[in-house]
Amino acid sequence: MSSTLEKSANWEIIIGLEVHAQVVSKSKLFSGMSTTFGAEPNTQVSFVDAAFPGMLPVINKFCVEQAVRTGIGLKAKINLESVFDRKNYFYADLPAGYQISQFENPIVGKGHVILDMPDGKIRKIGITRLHLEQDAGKSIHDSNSVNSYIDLNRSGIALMEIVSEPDLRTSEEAGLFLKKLRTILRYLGTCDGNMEQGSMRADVNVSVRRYGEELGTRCEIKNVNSIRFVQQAIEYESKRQIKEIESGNKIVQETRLFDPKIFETRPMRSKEESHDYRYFPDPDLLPLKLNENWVNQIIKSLPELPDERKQRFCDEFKLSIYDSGLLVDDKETADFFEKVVLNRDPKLVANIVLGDFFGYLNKLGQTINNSKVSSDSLGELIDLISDNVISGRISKEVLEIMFNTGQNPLEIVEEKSLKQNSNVDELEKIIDAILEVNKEKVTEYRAGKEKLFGFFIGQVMKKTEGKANPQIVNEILIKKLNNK
Amino acid sequence: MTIERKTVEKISSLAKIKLKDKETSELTNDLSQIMEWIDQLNQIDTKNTPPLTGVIQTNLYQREDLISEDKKLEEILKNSPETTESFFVVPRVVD
Amino acid sequence: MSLINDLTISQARKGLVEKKFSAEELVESFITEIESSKKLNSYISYNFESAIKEAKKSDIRIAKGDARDLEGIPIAIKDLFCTKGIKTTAASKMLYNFVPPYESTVTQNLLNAGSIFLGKTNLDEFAMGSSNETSFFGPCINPWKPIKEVHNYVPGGSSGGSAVAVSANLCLGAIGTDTGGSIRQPASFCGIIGLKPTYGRCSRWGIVAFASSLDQAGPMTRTVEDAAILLNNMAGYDSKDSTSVNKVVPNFEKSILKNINKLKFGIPKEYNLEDSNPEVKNLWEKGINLIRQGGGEVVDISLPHTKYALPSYYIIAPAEASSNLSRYDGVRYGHRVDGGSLEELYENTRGDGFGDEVKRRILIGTYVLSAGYYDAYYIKAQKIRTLIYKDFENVFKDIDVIFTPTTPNSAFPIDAKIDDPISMYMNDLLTVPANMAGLPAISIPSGKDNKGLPLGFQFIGKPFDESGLLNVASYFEEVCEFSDNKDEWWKS
Repeated sequence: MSSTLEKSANWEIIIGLEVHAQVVSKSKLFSGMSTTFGAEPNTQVSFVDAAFPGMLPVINKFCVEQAVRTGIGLKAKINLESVFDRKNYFYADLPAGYQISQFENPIVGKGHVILDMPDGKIRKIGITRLHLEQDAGKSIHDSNSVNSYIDLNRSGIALMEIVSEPDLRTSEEAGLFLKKLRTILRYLGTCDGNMEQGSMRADVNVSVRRYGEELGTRCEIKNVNSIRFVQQAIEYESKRQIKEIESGNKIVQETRLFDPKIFETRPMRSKEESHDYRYFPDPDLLPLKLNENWVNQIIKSLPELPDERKQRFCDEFKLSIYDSGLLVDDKETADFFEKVVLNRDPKLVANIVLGDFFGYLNKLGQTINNSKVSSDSLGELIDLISDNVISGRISKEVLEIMFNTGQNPLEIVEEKSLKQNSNVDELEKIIDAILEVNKEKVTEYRAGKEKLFGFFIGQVMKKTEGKANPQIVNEILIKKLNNK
Repeated sequence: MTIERKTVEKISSLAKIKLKDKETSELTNDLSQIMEWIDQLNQIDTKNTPPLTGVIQTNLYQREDLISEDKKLEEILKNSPETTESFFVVPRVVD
Repeated sequence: MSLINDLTISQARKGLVEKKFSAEELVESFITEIESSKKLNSYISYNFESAIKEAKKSDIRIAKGDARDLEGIPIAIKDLFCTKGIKTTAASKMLYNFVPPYESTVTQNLLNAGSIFLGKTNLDEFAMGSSNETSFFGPCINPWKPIKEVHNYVPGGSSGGSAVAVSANLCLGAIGTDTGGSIRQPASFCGIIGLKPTYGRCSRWGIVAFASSLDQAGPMTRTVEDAAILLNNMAGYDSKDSTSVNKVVPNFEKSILKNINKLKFGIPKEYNLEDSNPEVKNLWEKGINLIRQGGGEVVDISLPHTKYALPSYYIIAPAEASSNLSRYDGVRYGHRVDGGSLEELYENTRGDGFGDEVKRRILIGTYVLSAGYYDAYYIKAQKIRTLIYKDFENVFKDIDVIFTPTTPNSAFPIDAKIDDPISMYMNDLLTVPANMAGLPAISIPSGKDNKGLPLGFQFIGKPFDESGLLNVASYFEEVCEFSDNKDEWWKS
């Protein structure tokens, strides 16, 4: 082992994430303006959102509910009294010169997220807090111009800032955490998790230390907008920090940006405003007091969450943890699975859904909702397999046609006469003919070259265009080959 | 508390207010006097007193999640010193 | 013709309905009066054309017997209330050209009641000041001054323009805002009535914010009855203001009974200042006797933290203001001074757009909120605010109303205090505590000092007991017999 490798093996990477998740709501956090994505610039801006003189914030009850729902989903403490503070700083996309946020008394306190690691182990990642705040607008920079252009459509949309404990140790864990968090938010319906549209963004805090040492100085990588970028940013940043320290330099606490074109982080160019945000309680708003009964009602109304659902899939359907995990990762998949599995063999359904069905979806770039294959027709296809009407092999062909045409599986099978051949007499004749032609191979097989069994199967399938019932073929072949 | 000139420079930069030299001197003097006067508050022990969160005892009103505002692009832009198409314009921002 | 300018709102309302004069005549008469009183600089902008148009509409309504509560009543609006389509400046260069596309709730309520806006009145820039000298549009001048005095006197502030317009009969009534005394102190200096309602009684929506936890709109009038009439048409819950309180608004006119029999008046010893004008003390004594004469009870009380109200106010109000005024950045509205970078644009705009006092307060506010000073100043002040609040809560268990002078002194000459911030701040010594506790308070003319300048009595009430205050004030109004004998020296 080389000495450098030895060295880097001694390093521990400490990662904490601050995720900004856009709350699913019709109107903004403090104004009655629409939140629809993609509108013409400044057409979704109220006088409150543009911070006109004398305008006042009025909080959206549903956004509060969404934050509470998310808090419960993160197994976190709901604070029955929380306070909105002003975070003061000047920026082009911040019209009031302050952001209404929550500082000392957030609406949600400590919680956690469970990660299933690929090695089957479980990691529990702490959630420090969740608070509600306003989003800022957008500055658009035209490279040919000396100006920036301000669009305030996003200004005032509700965000949940979800802060993790510095419990993450690898970029892989960070990726799993973000995926799991996104799954939970989507189950709850509190954030659509759409990172491309910016409805989920992460600030990544990275520091490194030699095992057993005190925490190192951290750098914050701002506003990373995809899980892959978060992982790449961590990879780059941790290597950079290790290299700095190993060359005898100190890490400077700073805010950095990730450039996805070159996979590197760099310090922010804009002047660092020494971070004196002068937080104080917003005098335009009273403390937010929640009724305990109301919170309890939300707890009761919560949907089954991925961890619980996964456990149920294991218990109820006797599926492996791994398959259950795959199925519940996406709420739509799990819902789809549950529709198909009704009165059917869970293992077969899981295999088809996770195997061929997903294979085609991915190949065609479709989703469960926009594909032509409904849960009913996939169920019918699975019934055809279970009832020995078609073979598993033929089912792939049928499924492909279903994806293309939306046709009913039985119709396809009949139209193309794909039904499985389970006629023993007929198959015996075919097999006899094949054994006759391949006498030499039969002798070899009987002499102990058992591998040739597959060859005979293949020949039968070729002859029957894959329609022979494999089980029956198996039985006949064994009988005939062993019958010396 | 006496306020130093560099403190005035720092807070005026935080508050984004450009001061002329003379203004900085005058404000250093004014702020020192005012803060010294304010320091009489240290005479009272407030260790066991909670800060006031408001003089109003009612609960925060929470509105329903309804879109109650319509597009008001023209009114939003009308008072602006500089706009292009439907954007506000500022000198180029670096991040 | 000028006779109808002396009317009270109550009298004018009657005159209009009885068709002794038309709303148009009334408005025209005020326009003439305002034109000949420009020396006082009480208005920043006029709304004459629209006022005449509206007056004609009012006359039609009156003719149809369809008159609303303030139908055809010409009033003046402090230029801190956003008025749709009418320039709203907050007396700042920063907003010299700002035309709001919306109407503040309070002014909308007044419009809905049929009143007519003559124009927007002068004030201290962003309502920060006690003399109206910090206005970008020049100082407003008190119509009162000592006989044969050459110097002009300040009207007080920040609602100086409204106080002057009422005092000099340039409107039938006006509205102002009060953050630390900005209605009561100028009312006292100008010999009129000024009422600051309970925090939460009137909506703050659409009022250019100074200090959000303290600001409150209120009426400024020539009689207590008029204050009740205006407040009736200003107050009310507004779901657009989260600090507005959902409480029934009583008919304040009906509370004017001029009867203080059996009422308990608290006299706080802490309001007896060593360096108060001796006439202020004498009048206060006289007032205490008037309580007894009216069958009221005099109770000596203590509000031990009074002395700390003003310095803690000068932490809280600037802190809130520093944040409230961050939106004036030259991007979306108002004044702009360009710069090579965004940073420079902000700094140039704000350096040029704000006047001295506003800069002073923004810097104090920024300082007390900044890292390392927040607990020592801001939190400390909020704790003291709790103590002040409790002081009042305690005494109101045993008394109905608190009786004090409004200000330690009468009006002073222009320029006398402008370079001495602390002595300027002292003007609000006796008015600030009511704001800190959110309590309603009224100032009425009590008499004059030896220079012939008006002084005021202040009554502080229990939360939402504006009715009680108006009743008490109506009694004192009657027994004090304040006479408005100023000559109209300012007329051209």
